[in-house]
Amino acid sequence: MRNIMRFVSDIQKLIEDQFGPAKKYASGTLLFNEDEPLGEIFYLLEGQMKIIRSGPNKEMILWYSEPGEFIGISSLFDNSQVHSSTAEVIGSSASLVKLDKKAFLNLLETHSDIQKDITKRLCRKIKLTEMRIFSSSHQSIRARLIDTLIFLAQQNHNESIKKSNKTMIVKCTEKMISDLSGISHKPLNKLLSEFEINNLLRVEESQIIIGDYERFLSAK
Amino acid sequence: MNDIAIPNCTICDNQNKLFCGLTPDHREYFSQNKGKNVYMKGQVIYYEGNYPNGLFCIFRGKVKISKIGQEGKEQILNFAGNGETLGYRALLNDEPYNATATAMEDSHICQLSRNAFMNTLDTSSCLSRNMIELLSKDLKDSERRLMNLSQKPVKERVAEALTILMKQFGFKEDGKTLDTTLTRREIGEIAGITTETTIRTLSEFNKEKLIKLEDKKISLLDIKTLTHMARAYELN
Repeated sequence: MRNIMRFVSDIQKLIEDQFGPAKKYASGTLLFNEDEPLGEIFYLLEGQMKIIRSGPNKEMILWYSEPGEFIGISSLFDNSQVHSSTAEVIGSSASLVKLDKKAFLNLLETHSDIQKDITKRLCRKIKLTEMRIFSSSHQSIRARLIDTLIFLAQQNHNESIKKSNKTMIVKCTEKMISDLSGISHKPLNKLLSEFEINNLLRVEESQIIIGDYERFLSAK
Repeated sequence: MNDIAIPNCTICDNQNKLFCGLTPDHREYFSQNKGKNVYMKGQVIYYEGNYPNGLFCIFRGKVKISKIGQEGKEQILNFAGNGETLGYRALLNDEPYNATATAMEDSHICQLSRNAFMNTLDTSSCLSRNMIELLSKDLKDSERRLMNLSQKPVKERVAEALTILMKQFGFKEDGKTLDTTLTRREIGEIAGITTETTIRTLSEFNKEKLIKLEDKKISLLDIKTLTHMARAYELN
């Protein structure tokens, strides 16, 4: 856990030194829109972003980006000329560093640790998306909620805690859980209360504490 | 099928995107650190929940990647064919497989050792870059499927499943009949709908002369319309 945090701060320092300073973006700012030509890459230093894709009926939140992420890179690597999603700042504000494509690719060539970090983050996003594909047609809402909370915990770098079977802290809002799991407000609240009564978790302001990972997982 | 000889990685004719651009030395290193197996039709290559020992690379064959739900219902997440690799995400993250891989026909598959793959990833920026490209494509594919499953109507989803099969398996010699004998249940598992709905929708397509059904065989008669339907709700 400490190593991951140190690694993220090392990269942050490197990027700020080479490409900074960071700029603050207000909540609601769109860094880029779906179908817009690829422009700069952004590195998220502080705050949170939501990545959205529009559909025929409604938009869908694909994921929430956390500090330490490069935003807008997936279209760069699959040779598309346009962004496949929209990136919007949420929360109070976000600090981001802008890099041009060439500088970003040079950074990758010279820093294998950054390549590895991007690889791991891509793997996690694919896992979440596949989980949502599977959940949407095969899982009960109870299982969907459990999967979503575990995923969010992993995104918060709780991997090491999970393996030692101890407490997991999931930093999230109810809206985030609802957007990712597809469970609407009322049944979500009902389920969270049920889980709380059964001592599976504890809901606090902007975070959920899961006491025992294995027990929580078996509640599916 | 068992007679097929799997060549050395330096002369393999498969266009593997992951290994594209690797030096002959790296390819030779892979050859020296791989095992070769034949998996019979229906045989599981790896199970969801198991930890990976290496990277699978399909020399000849077809594989489906799927997950089993609480009531035993299967969801097909993806297919893989000649030259494609399997199990790299579990290997990269040192975590259990997220899904099960099953041979759909007798398949010749190489297994590169975990150490050989991870060592090369550490030393080859070309392999690292290819890996990011492959994962970026995987991510977009899965995002598109998620959008489709949650927002696309049933007929369009079945049309999409047929176009996926067309791209993945191709046609028999007549240029119309899909070169696969997937069951109606399995087609439903791709589209994320029940077997009954799949049968009903295919029957409607048959009546509309978009396809021709003959026993298990499906011939695509109007690929243009099917492709148009499959893409009707997609933005890019």
